[in-house]
Amino acid sequence: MNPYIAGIALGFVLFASFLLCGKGLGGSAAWARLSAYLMHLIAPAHIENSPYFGHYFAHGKNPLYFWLVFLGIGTFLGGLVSTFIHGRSKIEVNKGPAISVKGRLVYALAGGILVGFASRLGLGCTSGQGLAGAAMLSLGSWAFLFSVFFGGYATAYFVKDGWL
Amino acid sequence: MAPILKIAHMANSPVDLFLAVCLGFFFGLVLESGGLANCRKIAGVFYLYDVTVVKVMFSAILTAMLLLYATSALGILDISILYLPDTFIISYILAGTVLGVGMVMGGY
Repeated sequence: MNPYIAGIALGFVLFASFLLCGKGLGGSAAWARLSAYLMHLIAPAHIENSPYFGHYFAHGKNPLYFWLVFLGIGTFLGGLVSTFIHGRSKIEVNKGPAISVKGRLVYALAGGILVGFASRLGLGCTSGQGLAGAAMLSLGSWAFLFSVFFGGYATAYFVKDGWL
Repeated sequence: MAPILKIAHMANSPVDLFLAVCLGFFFGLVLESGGLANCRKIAGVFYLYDVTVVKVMFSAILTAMLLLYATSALGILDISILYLPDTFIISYILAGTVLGVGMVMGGY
């Protein structure tokens, strides 16, 4: 799809979310809550006493019964349907030509840990802060968004083997 | 008046959560269609071989921003009660930088 058309459509979905539900679209909260839920299966006392994750479980609450988790389920389904529409539904490790599959997965894990931590520190990822917050003209969100580009460009040279 | 469900005190009601799944569906559909589910396109931004992600992202921000502004100016949408994260500039600069480092390493 033409990227400008896709962007305008994305803007309408984001606007609809604000208009109907009063909140923007987010991607990272569902992962934080799913992680907390899975950790809770292994070490319940540890997670319930965690200063960050503890409130997910306050008063016997289920951390997955949360608006952004339902949004995440929809996002997965919508993405899946789109891969069928465009005929690109397949299991693959997408990577640059120079790196091995194993190397790519190591980079992905390391990058994922950093993104996961940063999205909690920043109260959102490129969706919640970068899209929703920026559309609301939040100063903090714009500081966040430009910092993402700064961090990416500052690091790109050192990890170019993964992509080029 | 909008936001409709917030004004109707129906936040986190089954209707609200059902709408979340519907909104998420279109969110995922548009993101994948626009190519944002492809890590090579995301990495492309940082090596300038493919700037699709920037085109999608800033068209989306601009579209939503103008719609929010217009509906607010027309008195349809009460922008003051929309969810907005508190502003912690230092934390956000730190978080954004670390996220950018992770993004170019991991691809998402």
